[in-house]
Amino acid sequence: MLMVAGAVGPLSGCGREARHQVRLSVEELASISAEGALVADDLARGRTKTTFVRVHGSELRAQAEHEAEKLNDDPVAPGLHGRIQAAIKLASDIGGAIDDLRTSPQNRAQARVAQRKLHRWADQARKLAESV
Amino acid sequence: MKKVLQLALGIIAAIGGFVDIGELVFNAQAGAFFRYRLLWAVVVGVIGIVVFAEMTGRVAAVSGRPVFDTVRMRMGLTVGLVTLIASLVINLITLAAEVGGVAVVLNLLFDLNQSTLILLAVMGLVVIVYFVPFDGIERIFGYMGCALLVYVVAAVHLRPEWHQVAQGVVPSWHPSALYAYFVVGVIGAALVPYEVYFYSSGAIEDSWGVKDLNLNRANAALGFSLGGILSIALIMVSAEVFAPAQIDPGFLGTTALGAQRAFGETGLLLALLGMLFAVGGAAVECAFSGAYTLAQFAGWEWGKYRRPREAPRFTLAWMIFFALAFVVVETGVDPVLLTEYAVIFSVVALPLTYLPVLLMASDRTFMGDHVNGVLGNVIGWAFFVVILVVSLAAIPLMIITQGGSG
Repeated sequence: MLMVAGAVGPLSGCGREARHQVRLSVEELASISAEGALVADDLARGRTKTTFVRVHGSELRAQAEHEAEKLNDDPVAPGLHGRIQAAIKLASDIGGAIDDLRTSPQNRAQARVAQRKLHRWADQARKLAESV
Repeated sequence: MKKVLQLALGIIAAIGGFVDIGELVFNAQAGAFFRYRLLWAVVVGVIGIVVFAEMTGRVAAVSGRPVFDTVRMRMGLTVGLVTLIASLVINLITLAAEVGGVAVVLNLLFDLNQSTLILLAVMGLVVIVYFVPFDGIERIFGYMGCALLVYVVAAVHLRPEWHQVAQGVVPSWHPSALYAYFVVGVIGAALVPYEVYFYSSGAIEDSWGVKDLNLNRANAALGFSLGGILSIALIMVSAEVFAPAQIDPGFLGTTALGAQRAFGETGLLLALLGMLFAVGGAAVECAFSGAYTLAQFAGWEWGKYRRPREAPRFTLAWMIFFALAFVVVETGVDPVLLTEYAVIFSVVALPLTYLPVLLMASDRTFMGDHVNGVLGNVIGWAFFVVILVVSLAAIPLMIITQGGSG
């Protein structure tokens, strides 16, 4: 009995830690998406600089990609698998929308659409993080 | 009239020179995570740096000895050597973070290759430092850094809830390790040792004597206090822009975005310009601080007021510091991450610098009539206790919170 407890104890601790890391990654995705939405909003209203959108957008996209890689690589409990796949999909969508902003920063209509999408994905990521 | 002008110019330079990459990172995150609840930590940090800088300036003006001379004299060779090594390592990490920060800001402005920009940043700083006299360096970076005042205007423009701002200035506690980590980070960002090394050596560079003690008092009290308003403004903008959207400001670009949200492209450009000069000025201070400490410990000729051939090892030292920082940043390390390490490790080493200055400033045989008064000693020792607690808590909190990530 003690041996079982000894073996399971650290594993469950490890599971909690892994779950915490997943939650942090998904929260980071929510933050990136919310920030992308602010950048897109300023772009749509002509209140920013092209170089800023390109460079800062590139940082945000790279960070979204990095979080997706972490989510993909970290070992987690099978119960979390579906939510991790959803988070990776969100990361890809968020990175893609930010990339579109970087590619054509003069396209205000596209920025308006991206702003709404990024705002929605930020909400989704937050809910997903809470569920982990 | 000339004195008043000199004082005003010094204070303006101090305002612009107060903020470095540490403030830009920690204050923006503090506002995003805890809204106004950490404003009091800025106040504590600013009072600490005012007390500390005033004492180092007074010791330098009265005795003609800068901080590092004092450390070696009061603490002996062994402790002096430990402090020297710790200071040099922390200076290098901080310098690398500042150089990386300059390159990031240039990139946000011009969208060029990052490696090229790092090289350009280092070369630009070396050329300015080599050719421009000491007070010119202080003024260029200090005045241009005042573009960061856009955050003060933005903080008011964003219509904060002033009663919450007032509540934030009153010390409070929040039962989380993350909150404690940011208390340490915000206080530490205001109290980084390189600022006092630079301040006290600058007093020698400017040939301060007993007649300049009022100038020292005014510069330390007004310059750093008004500089602290910039820190408060960074927190307030972050609290209004990033906290509601639950954004973690992990990039310098995010901090700049706060000014853009308030004033559009003009706000963005002013913020980036201010950051460029504030962080660039901090890089110069770091490189000089490294060279000052090394030269003062080794007994070399030092000072920017001397020609390079009159102080060759000092000149070579600050150039080597820039070269080493260049190598560190070229490895691709994240300047924001470096900043967090630099601030936390600075906090750990702070008592080693602060204590000898406090002992020296309290020593009547050394300071004569300009020794600390009763009030000065009470405040000085009270701050030493704060610094000690913060320095002991820094590393455990960094580990527990995984560097502030949660």
